Amino acid sequence: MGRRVVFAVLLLSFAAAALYFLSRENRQLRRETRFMMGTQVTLTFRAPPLDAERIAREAFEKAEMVDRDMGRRPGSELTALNQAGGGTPGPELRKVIDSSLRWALASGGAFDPTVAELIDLWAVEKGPHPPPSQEQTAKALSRTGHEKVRPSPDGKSFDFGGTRLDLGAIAKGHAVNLVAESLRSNGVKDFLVDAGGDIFVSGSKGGKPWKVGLADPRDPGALIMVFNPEEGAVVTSGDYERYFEWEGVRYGHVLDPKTGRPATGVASVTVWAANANDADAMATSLMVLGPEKGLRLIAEHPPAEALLIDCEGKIHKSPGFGRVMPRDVEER
Amino acid sequence: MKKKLVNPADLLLILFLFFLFIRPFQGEAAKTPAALRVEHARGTELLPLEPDRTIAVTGPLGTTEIEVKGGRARIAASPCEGKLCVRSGGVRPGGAPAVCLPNRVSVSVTGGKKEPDAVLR
Repeated sequence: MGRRVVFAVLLLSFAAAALYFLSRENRQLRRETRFMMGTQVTLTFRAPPLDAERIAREAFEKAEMVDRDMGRRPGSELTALNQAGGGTPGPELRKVIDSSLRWALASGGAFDPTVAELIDLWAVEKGPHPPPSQEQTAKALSRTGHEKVRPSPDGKSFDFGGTRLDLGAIAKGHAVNLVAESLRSNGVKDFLVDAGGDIFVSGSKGGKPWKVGLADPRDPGALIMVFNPEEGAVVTSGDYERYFEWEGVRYGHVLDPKTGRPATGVASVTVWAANANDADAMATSLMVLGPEKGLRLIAEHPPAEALLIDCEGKIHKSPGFGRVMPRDVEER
Repeated sequence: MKKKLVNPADLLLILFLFFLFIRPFQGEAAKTPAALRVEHARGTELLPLEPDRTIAVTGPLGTTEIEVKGGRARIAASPCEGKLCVRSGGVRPGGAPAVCLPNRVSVSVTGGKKEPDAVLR
C-alpha cells in the first residue's frame, strides 16, 4: 500500500513537471526582425508557437504597407501625390497626412510635413559634404510650409500648394500603431514593437516589466538609463543617429522648418504617449522647440510625457515622466 | 521482514524529478551567455564572442565587416555611403546595436542579466 502511494506521488509529480514544461513552451517569447521603413523593425511577443509565424507575418505586412505607400521611393502613393502636386490619397495615407497637418498646427510649425525640399537639399544620409548655401536654403524654404497645403471641402483631397510632403517623422509611428493593432487583434497581449527608436510596449515579459534602454547621445553604444515603460508608445529622436560632419560641425537630420537648417541645442528627446503616431510627431517637434517650449507642448497634449537631453548634457523632464517611464528596478 | 517504503531506485527517481522541477526556476541570465547577434536581410545569427576575428556579412550593397575584439564588436567597414555605422563605435553587452540600414546589417551583443529588450536611439 505504502509503495503504491509513493509511486502515485511520483507519477503526479512527473505529470505536473510535464505540464509545466508544456505551458512554458507555450509562453515562450518570439523575436522577429526585418529591415524596412529605413530602419530595423523587431517584434518581441508571446504567442502559441503554432500561431507565432502567421501573427508576425500579418504584423509585418502592416509596416510593409506603410513603407510601400508613405515613403518617398519611386512608385509609392506619396511620390505620385508629390509629383501631381496633390490629389486624393487612400484612407491610411489620408489619416497620416491629416495627423501631420494637425501636429504642424499644434506645434506652431516646429513639426512640418512639407520639408521634403529641405531634406533633399541637406541630404544628411550622403555623408560628409559642404552644407547648402543661404540662397539654396532660402529657395527650398520658399517651397516649404504646412499652411500652403489646402484640403478639399470634404477633406478627402489635398492641394499641396507647391510643396512636397515627407512623412518620415510620423509615418513610422503610424506603422508601429498598426503593428500593435495587428498583434492585439490576434490575441497577443504581451509584446514589444521596436522600429529603431519608435517603440510600443504592451503587457509584460513573463510577469516582469519590459526593459527599454536609452542610448547615450554622446556615446550611442552605451545606455544612459534603462526604463520599465508603462503600456504605450515611446519614441526617441536625436542628433546622433543620422547626421554628417563638415569642417568640425555636426549637422543632424531633424530640420527646423522655419530656418531651413538642422535643429540645434537638443541632443536627444524621448516622448511617451498613448500612441506612436503622436509620440513620433512630438519627438520631432521637441527637437526643434527645445526644452522650455517643448515641455509646454507636452503639457498641452496629455497623456504625454517627455525627457530631453540638451547639448550640454543637462536633463529636462516633464513632471509625470518618472510615473510612465520608471527607472528599471535593477537600476534604482 | 518489513519491506522498505522507499528503496534506492525510488530515491534516485525522486531526485531526478526534483532537479527536473527546479531547472525552469534557474535564472535566465545563467542560460544566456553573452553572444554576438548579427541580423541581416537573410535572418539572424548568434555567434560566439571569442576568438577575436573579423566577420564578413553580405548585404544588398556589398560586404559589411564586423570586427570582434575583447568581447566587443564594431562595424569596421561598410559599403554604404554615409558610413554612420562605422562611426557609431563599439557595441557593448546589453548596449545599443550598431546598425547599417543601407546594407541591412545590425550587430549587437546579447545576453546577461541587464540586457534591455529594446533600445531607444
